[in-house]
Amino acid sequence: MRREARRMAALFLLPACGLYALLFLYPVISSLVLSLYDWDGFSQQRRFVGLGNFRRLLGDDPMFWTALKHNLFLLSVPTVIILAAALFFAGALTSGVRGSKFFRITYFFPNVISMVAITLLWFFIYNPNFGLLNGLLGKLTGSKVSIVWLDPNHIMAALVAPIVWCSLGFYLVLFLAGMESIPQTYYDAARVDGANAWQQFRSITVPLMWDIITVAVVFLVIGGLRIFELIYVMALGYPNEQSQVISTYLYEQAFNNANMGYGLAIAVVLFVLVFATTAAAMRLMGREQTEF
Amino acid sequence: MPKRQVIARPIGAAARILAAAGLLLAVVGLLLAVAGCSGQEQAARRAGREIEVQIFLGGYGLDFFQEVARGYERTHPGVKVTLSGDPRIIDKLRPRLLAENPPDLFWAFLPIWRLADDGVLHALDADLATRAYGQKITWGESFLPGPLATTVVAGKRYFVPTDLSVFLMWYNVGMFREHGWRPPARWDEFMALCERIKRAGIAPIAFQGRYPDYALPMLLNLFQRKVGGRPLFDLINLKPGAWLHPDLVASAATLQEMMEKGYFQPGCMGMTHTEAQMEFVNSRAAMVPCGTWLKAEMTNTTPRGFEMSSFNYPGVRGGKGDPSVAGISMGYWCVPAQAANLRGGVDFLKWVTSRENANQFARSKDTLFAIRGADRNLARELAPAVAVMRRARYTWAAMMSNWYPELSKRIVDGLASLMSGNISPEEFCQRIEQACDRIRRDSNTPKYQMPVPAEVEG
Repeated sequence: MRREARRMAALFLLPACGLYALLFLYPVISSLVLSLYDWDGFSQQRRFVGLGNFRRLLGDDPMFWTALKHNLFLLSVPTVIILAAALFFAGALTSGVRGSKFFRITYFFPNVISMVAITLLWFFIYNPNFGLLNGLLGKLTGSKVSIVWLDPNHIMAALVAPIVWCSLGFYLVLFLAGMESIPQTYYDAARVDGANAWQQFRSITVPLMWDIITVAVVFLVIGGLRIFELIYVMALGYPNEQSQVISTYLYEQAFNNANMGYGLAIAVVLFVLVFATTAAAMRLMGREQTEF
Repeated sequence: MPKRQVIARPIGAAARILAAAGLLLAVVGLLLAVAGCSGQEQAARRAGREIEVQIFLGGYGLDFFQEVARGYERTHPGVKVTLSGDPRIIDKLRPRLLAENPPDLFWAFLPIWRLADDGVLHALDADLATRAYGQKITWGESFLPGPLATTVVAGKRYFVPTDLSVFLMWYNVGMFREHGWRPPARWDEFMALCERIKRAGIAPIAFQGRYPDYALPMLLNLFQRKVGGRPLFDLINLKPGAWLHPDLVASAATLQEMMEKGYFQPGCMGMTHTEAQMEFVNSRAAMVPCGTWLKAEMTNTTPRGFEMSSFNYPGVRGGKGDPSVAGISMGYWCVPAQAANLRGGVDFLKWVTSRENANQFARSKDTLFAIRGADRNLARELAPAVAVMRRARYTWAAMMSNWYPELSKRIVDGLASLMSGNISPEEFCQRIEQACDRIRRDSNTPKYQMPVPAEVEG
């Protein structure tokens, strides 16, 4: 009977395992193999170059390092802002401000919109001629403002606002759930001991929410390394050296430049980077779990 | 009750399995039917009864080509031309090229030089030596020599040029007339004109700054006007050190100076091509650099009564270069080597590029065509472009951008940085030279050469 059950279990697992192998393992292994070839992606002509694509990428391609620098900027600056803002707003909303339900929905709202729609929205906000931002600045300064927010000098800084705007709600909800699960008695006891709001936050909220904060940091780091749609749409499909990130560079090499083998080598490096950065973030933030 | 459930489950599962099997059978049946259809089509193509054509669906639409296909069918009884278009034609062609089951003819923005090199395309040399449709010359002779010269890969021709664009400076005729401005004959007159326009409170030049490659023809024409054609072809052919030429640095400096002096419209580096061209047709800028497609591209948004014309980039006082020379770009049509009806694909391509069809295309789509004599009765706005092409001692095309997409990207990025004032003209040239050097050193990248026309000066 147990054997029968095991066989049944294997039978039921088979389709899922098959699909996983077909849709994940096979493409990953294929990509790994094809990254060792010089291949245009259009013909059957492939030339084995061994680690040549990787040598060129890491040793003779300044654009890769420029793109990586942009990724590091986009995974660090927005991460700090999002974490700080989400913790602040979550703290404010749990302290019982009026209309907290309304604010929860409002903050979460950008999460239900697709990334492409969000990007287009911000594309219009940044428009130098009729954009909301220049219009607002014009009203404040009393003169016509024509800052080109998406020109090569401003584009990286301009990308921070939409990233924060569309990500904040998710982390806010995550932190709210964490904060609401901390027993109120801890805060009451701290207050009796004379702790102020900052001390309560530092000594009770943060330690008890550390695991959630770690998860949030890991998500943000992965998001910062994999970012694609925002850049691609904001740059109208042609990111330049001021806005290129690794995933857009991968796309450019594989699909625009017909360097599929090289593009796949970038994909492999990106995979390793995401894996290593995630592991490093988890290790750096790992501390003994505080139970309550 | 539990007993009934036990009995009910297998029946439900069996029903579900039967339903799933039915669905699977239906899907398999459908796939077989589709495969059968495509098998029949394949047989018809192999027998020469059908020609499959796939083209990029963009501003030119499909209507003209469908009309041409019907004309072909009328003159070739028993042959059917199946023509389809898609804005994302590359996504459709990629799996078919990989499966070695391509259409018989295609027009798409693919890396065709690389495909030619990989043996994916049919060499057209023998076909170009056959008689052109409706003329007493060969098909090869019916093409304009400059555009046809761009199709050589390792001594053979794997595609032919079709629609043709000349890069010119467009101007607002009404505005020029009102202020008494005239198209300049020399570069210093051009700079003085920009200054006069700026003083009149109008932006001299609208610019498509989100796509800074619109400035490349201006830069390279200025360079050619200064030094002649040979150094220009050296740039195109990636001759070592060619991009470090002092006159190229000086030309890049002129471009940057024009930006700094406010000759390009403020804020232009954030504008797309349509936004910048809207500034031009709405008379907020006096000129715009663009190819001959401008008139067709802006037809629906050009205000009634707006008149546009164009001039070729002016010569340089004391320069060695002939100012009649023009920068061009064109589209290419190809016949895959694995096409089921290769002869049909070639013949239909000859038909599309016959002088009559080419002229009809140019007239109906407000563009030029790379066929001799296809420039009759075009729109008034294209008259200067026709005159430029007829007068041009020779033409050049920025082929390095087609051959090496990575280099093209570095040039575009460099132009963006140069025009934004982030790098010096020297740094711009050094960066491109470094990118060229990487290509020269990369043994994986096939190398191409543009034959230097006999008429080239310098």
